[in-house]
Parts: sequence; C-alpha cells; structure tokens
Amino acid sequence: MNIIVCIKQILDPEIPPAKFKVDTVAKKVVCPEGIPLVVSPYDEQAVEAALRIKESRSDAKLTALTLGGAGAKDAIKHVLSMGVDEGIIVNDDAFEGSDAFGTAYILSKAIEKLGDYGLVLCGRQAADWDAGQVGPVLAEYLGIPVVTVAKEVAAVDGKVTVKQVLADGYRVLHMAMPALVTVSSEIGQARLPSGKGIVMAARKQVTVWSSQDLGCDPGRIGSGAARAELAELFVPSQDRKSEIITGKDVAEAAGNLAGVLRREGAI
Amino acid sequence: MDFDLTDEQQMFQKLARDFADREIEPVAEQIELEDRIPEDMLAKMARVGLLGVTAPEDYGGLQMGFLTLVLVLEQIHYPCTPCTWLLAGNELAEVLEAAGTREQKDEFLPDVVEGKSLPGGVFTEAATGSYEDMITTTAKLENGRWILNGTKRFHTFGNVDGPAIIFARTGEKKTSAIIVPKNIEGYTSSKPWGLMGLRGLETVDTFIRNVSVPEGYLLGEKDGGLDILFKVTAGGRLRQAILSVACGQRALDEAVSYARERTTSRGPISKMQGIRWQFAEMASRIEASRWLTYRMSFLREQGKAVRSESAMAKLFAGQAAEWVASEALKIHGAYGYTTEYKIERVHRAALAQELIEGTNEIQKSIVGAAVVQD
Ligand SMILES: Cc1cc2nc3c(=O)[nH]c(=O)nc-3n(C[C@H](O)[C@H](O)[C@H](O)COP(=O)(O)OP(=O)(O)OC[C@H]3O[C@@H](n4cnc5c(N)ncnc54)[C@H](O)[C@@H]3O)c2cc1C
Repeated sequence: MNIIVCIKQILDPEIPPAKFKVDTVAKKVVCPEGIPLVVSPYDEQAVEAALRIKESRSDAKLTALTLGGAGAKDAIKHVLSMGVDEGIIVNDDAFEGSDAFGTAYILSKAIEKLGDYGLVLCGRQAADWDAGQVGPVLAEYLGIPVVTVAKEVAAVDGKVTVKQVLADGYRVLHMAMPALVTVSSEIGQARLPSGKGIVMAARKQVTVWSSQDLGCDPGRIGSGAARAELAELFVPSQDRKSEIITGKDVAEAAGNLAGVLRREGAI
Repeated sequence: MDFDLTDEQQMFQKLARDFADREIEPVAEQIELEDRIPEDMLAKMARVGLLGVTAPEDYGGLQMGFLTLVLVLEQIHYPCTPCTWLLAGNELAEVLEAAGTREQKDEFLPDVVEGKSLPGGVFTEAATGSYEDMITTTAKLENGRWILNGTKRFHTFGNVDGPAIIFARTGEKKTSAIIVPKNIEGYTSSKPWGLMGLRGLETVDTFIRNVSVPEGYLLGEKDGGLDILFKVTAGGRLRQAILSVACGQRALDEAVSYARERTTSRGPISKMQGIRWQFAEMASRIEASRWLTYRMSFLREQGKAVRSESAMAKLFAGQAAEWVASEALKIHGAYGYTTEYKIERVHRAALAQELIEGTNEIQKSIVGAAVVQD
C-alpha cells in the first residue's frame, strides 16, 4: 500500500521573536539569514503517523511530497532520514503565489500522477500560516473522504481507522481507502532521524516535477489564480501598560482591581 | 578553500543536537545528583546510530569520516554530561580499523555498535600517567593463550561488560595491546572513583589476575602496542579538543542568557561594555578552537598522522574552555558559585579535557618538539 505524506518547509517556529521580520510592502515574511528552514512540525507528525503504519504492515511504502523551491530538497532528505522511502518535489516558477486552493490543486495533480495510493497524510495545518485548508481541499480535488485533526491513524483490511480529536475527547471514524487524514500534535513527538537513515537518504534520488510534468491548468495555479487576497501583513505591536491598584485596605484594592478589569473588558 | 560541511555532515550534526536536546539535557541534573547515567541511554544512542558513526557498514556502522564523529561529539557534549563517553564504540571501531583483524571485528564490533556491550581501553597505571615506560602490567603467551597480570588505573567503563583494550608489557621495554573481555575470570574492578565533574562517569581501577584470553586477541603486532597507542591518541586528542569546544560554547551561552536577565539600575548587564568585551574574547577563543579542531579532524580523516597538530588543538581548546568557563562563572556573580545555576557544573566538566588523554604539559612537549624539529 502506498502512503503519500504531504510536507511543507517553513521558517523555524522556534526562532527568537527578534529575528522574525516581515516585508509589509511585498507582504512577505523575510527569512533571516543563516537560519535553515524546517519541516512544519505537524507535517513531521504526519510522517510519524505514516512510519507507525509502516511498522504495522510490511507492504507500506511511504512517499513524501512537497511543493517548494530551492531548499525543498533539505525537507525531503530530512523525512527520508526518518524512514520515508521516496521523495518528490514539485517546483515551477508558475506555482509562485499559489494560495491554498492552488497548492491543493498542484498536489492533487502530483498524487494523480503517482497513481495507486491508499492513504494521503497531511499535517493539520502548516505551522507558519496556520490556515489548515490544503488537506481538506486536496481531498475534495482527489474525490476521496477526509478526516481532520487525527491523534491516531491505522490502516487495516482496506479501511482507515482514525481517532479524531474533539474539544472534549476523541471519536473513532472509519473510512474506505483511499482516504486523506490530517494529523495533529496529539499523535506525539515525531521520531528523530537515524544515522542509517541519513546515509540512505544521501544515496536516494529525489524526483522533481514541473507544472508541465503534472499537466497543470495554468489558470488554476500561481498568484493569478489565487482566490484569497492578502490585504495586509504586519507584526502586531504589543503595548504594555502597568497600573498600580491601591485602596485603603485589601478589600478596597480588590474592589478597585475588579473595577479596572471590568473597564478593560477582561471580566 | 571550502569550509562548508557536506549535507550529510550537517544532518548528523542536527541529529546529534536534537538527540542531546531531547534525551540528554532533560536528565543532566538527575545524572549529576544520582551520579549515574540512566540505563536506557546507551540503547537510545544505538537506536539512532550514534555508536557506530565511523564503524564500517559491514559491522552495522555508518562508515562516516572522523570529522563527522567530531561534529556529533560536539553536539552530544553540549549538555556537558558523561553520556558523551558512551560513544566509546566509535573509538573501538577506530582502533580495530587501524590494527584489528577481521575475526576481531566480527567478534566485537557488531555488539558494540548495537549498544549490547560497552568497550573500554586502558593504558594508565598508578605509575604511568604521562610515562609509558613505567607500565607494569604483563602479558605472557602460554600454550596459545595470553595470560595477563597487573592493575590498571582510571579505566573508564572498565566495570561494564564489553571488550577492553589493555596495554601490557610483553618484554623488556616492549608493550602490546590485547583485547580482554571485561568481567571474565580473574578480572575485577574497584568501585568508581568519585569525580569532581562528569559525575556518573564510571572510571575504575581494574585488577587483572591470571586473566587468560586467546592468542588471537592480540591487536596488531606483538610489542607494537605503543605504535597503536600513538596512532589512536591523535584521534583521542581531537575528541577531547571538541569536548572542550562544546563546554566553552555552553559556558558562553549560559553567561549570555544570564547577562541578559540580570538587571541593575542601569539595565541588563549584557548592555555593559565590559561584559560585552568579555563575551567577544570568549566567543573568539571558542571559534578559533572549533575551527582548529575541525581542520585537524579533516586532516585526520584524509589519513594524515596529525600527531603534533592534534596536540595543538587539544592544548588550545582545553585552555580556552577552562578560561571561558571560569569567566562565564564570574559573570554569574555569586549565583555562579551556587548549584542553582548550570554554570558550575559546566565549569567542572570543562576541566576534564586538560587531563584526559595527556595533560597540557605533555601536549606542549609534543608541539614544542615539532616546532623546534630537533
Ligand atoms: C575522568 C578520567 C577518565 C580517564 N579514563 C582513562 C581511560 O579510560 N583509560 C586510560 O588509560 N586512562 C584514563 N585516564 C587517565 C588519564 O589519561 C591520565 O590521568 C593522564 O594521562 C595523566 O596522567 P597522570 O594523571 O598520571 O598525570 P602525571 O603524569 O602524574 O602528571 C602529573 C603532573 O605532572 C606533569 N608532568 C608529568 N610529566 C611531565 C613532563 N615531562 N613535563 C612537564 N610536566 C609533566 C603533568 O602535566 C601533570 O601536571 C582518565 C583520567 C580521568 C581524569
């Protein structure tokens, strides 16, 4: 059974806030120099889910798929070193500026080109924009069922069983294959790569497909096709104020505090 | 000149950093307090392949170069714990590559790479220290077996099952290296020495009384022990040098984060010129140590002997780390002298490298001789 995991390379969410800059005119995040991009943590957890399935059934073959530019190879090599079997990059200048729908369309074309698959896994959302749209839209384009925000995924007897996280617990859902699942952090920490994985990854060829290879409809990709428009991009400024609340005794001070909190809309 | 690390080297570096962050740093204080490395640490290291970085693929290793091992050690030692010494399998692989037979590799390497056994190696005795001619442990060949007798000192993990390389006298002023499986009949160990730093490292004295091993356990040539010792100590010195780099870097990082938070009436002390100049000195020495060690490790990977070059790296990096750790402690003020802050543990760890694998004075003698060329 082929399992496809979609991964995205993002700016490391752990960088110190002082290093995070945006270009408000170009409406883009500025990548700080010398800080390598990382695989979005939810996507790493999707890889972890895939690896656990692979451990439970010997016929599972894992393919990682990423839409990305020059650094995408690092993302693919990283997941190969975790134990993924194959990596594919889709890259083309024409993809530049695609929104979630464009991205999902491009990924769907790549998955169709790959052909036979039982399961597609994505992170619940990319940890940069946190939109969480690509997974469900991709399922729509592929015409397959989707369950979002999973904490456990199993694939047995042609059926996918998913524990889906709810606000107050989880529920168990079954789907026929092929299906798509978006994986949440509740699945637990993704494993580290292994030295052997690194050595193997270095020996593997990574396939790169262009828009033409995929037969993409130019009207559905790139900034021209984007349905969402980014109106403004800025780092919100945080103002800190301090106010010392007093009163003739503790009870009055507490009363004054409550008054201030009410005035500020905090309670 | 190309100073870039390869993609693979960078991936190993990241793996080791992530491993140290995830598995070692959270238990660093516990190791110190309990004076014990958690039992599952070796298996965890084996799982990600850290025990066989340089071992040949045929024996389950990853067959990476010496520089990759050095990059791994730097990251693994950043928490400044004795766990770094669990990577001794890499050292055994190196010795066996230099002088071992196929049978010896078959017998000992796979278990070591898988973390099923932990190797040791001991030259030191009560009298030897810096003087190899003072060795008293003997090995005699009798009926196709080596019979060893003597007492070894400061044998790291000498009490834990696995192969140990024992240096012993095999004639007048002649030394040989022999593999001895630890804890076989006649082999016993003292309880570990109480150590000033790196608590949890089990460094013992080993008592060898009529220990008998097959003739085939001789490493290299009979009487060729010192050749092997000199060949592998260049690697050992570079390993110690990179541990110094790790300690120095850690000490600096601790001092910087403390200085950012320690606020006086004039703001955080990190804003003061005097403190910044100190950081500049510290960072410069660490960076110089790092690249000196990388360069010498690269040369070693190319097959160069690097005898005096490795001594240079160990000397410089060791002194730099000791100085940086001491200054970093002072930047913490009185808090630096308390056990509440990590810097005191880092400081104690930083001192070890100036003693292990030869003291500073011995390194100076080696470098001095190479400089004068007499
Ligand atoms: C934690 C730890 C773990 C260790 N693990 C091992 C191990 O696994 N295997 C092993 O074999 N050994 C091990 N050692 C031993 C270590 O390698 C030796 O202790 C080291 O080589 C120094 O020897 P020594 O202590 O006898 O010093 P000595 O040789 O007694 O030196 C004492 C002092 O005299 C100085 N001195 C000596 N000769 C000269 C000279 N010619 N000129 C100028 N100054 C001189 C030295 O520099 C030093 O300052 C370990 C040591 C430690 C602390």
